[in-house]
Amino acid sequence: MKIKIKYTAQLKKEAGTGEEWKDMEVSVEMEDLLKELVKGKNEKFQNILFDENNHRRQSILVIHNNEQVVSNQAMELSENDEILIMSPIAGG
Amino acid sequence: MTQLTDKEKAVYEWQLTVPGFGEEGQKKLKEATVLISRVGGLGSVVAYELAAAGIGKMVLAHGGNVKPSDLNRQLLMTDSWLGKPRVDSAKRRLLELNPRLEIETVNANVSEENAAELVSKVDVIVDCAPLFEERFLMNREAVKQKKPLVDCAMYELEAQIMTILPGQSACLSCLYPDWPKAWKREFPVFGAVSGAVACLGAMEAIKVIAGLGEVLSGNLLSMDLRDMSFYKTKINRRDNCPICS
Repeated sequence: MKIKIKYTAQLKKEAGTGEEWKDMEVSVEMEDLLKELVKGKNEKFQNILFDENNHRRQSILVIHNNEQVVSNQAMELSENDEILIMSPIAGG
Repeated sequence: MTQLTDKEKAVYEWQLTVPGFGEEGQKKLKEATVLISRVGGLGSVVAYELAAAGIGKMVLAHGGNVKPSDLNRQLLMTDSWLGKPRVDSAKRRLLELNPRLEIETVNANVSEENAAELVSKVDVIVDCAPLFEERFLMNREAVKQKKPLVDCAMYELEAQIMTILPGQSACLSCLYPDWPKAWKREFPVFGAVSGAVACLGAMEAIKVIAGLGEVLSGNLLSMDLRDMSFYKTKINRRDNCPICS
């Protein structure tokens, strides 16, 4: 099914787009989702999402239909759902 | 409780009629002290709005002198003040607007050396620093000393804000449990974006102090002014947060 992925800040910059549509399964774990998103992106994008040991960075916020996803439990998706991937910001 | 002078009643006439605020709310603002961590693009506007609203005292912490590249967003700095301390420019501009305001300036950024003392002097903190080192220090001290903290941030045409009520809502370390490595000191910025979220930050501080409305505690409001999309997301406290749990 088609899921809308939106990026913010540095992730948006490195992805070269603020949003994209992805074909996803009905149920997906956060880590698997992020690994899917890295495909075809540059190294900087990957380094924002994952550390040198390929562990997901906890400072990346994942918001599914306005709800924060905090654990690696499976997200249950529906057609046209929106997932926001937020890069941390501190600009003043 | 302190009383309002005739001059103050005249100046604040148009906000005294805000439902749920009134003279009692105005007196609370007059008695309050707010720390603003950096008076740059965000903090300048936070300070200006709080000065206009009638906050009694401010502590402004920001090191360094005014540079040309400050002037697209740091609205308390002026061309005539280039090369001179930022906090002095901020104090000068704020007192032009509100000569009743008491201001303590600190010509230094928040650091391990001064964070605890700065927080101890105030009732509310508005964090507007461009570095996570400073933000995490403010968060730690705010939680430790049980002081409300309004965290405002921006990048390019994006911005976000969250209010932290220690012991009640998620803190900055709940939001960012590991080091935000992606963040870099230099970032694209329009003053109007900083100013937009700064006005929201000032309003949150006013609400916290006056007990007005509902604050953004436990909620992150994020926005992208490029397409005017706004998101309000509930942020949960982390059971294993080393700062607030």
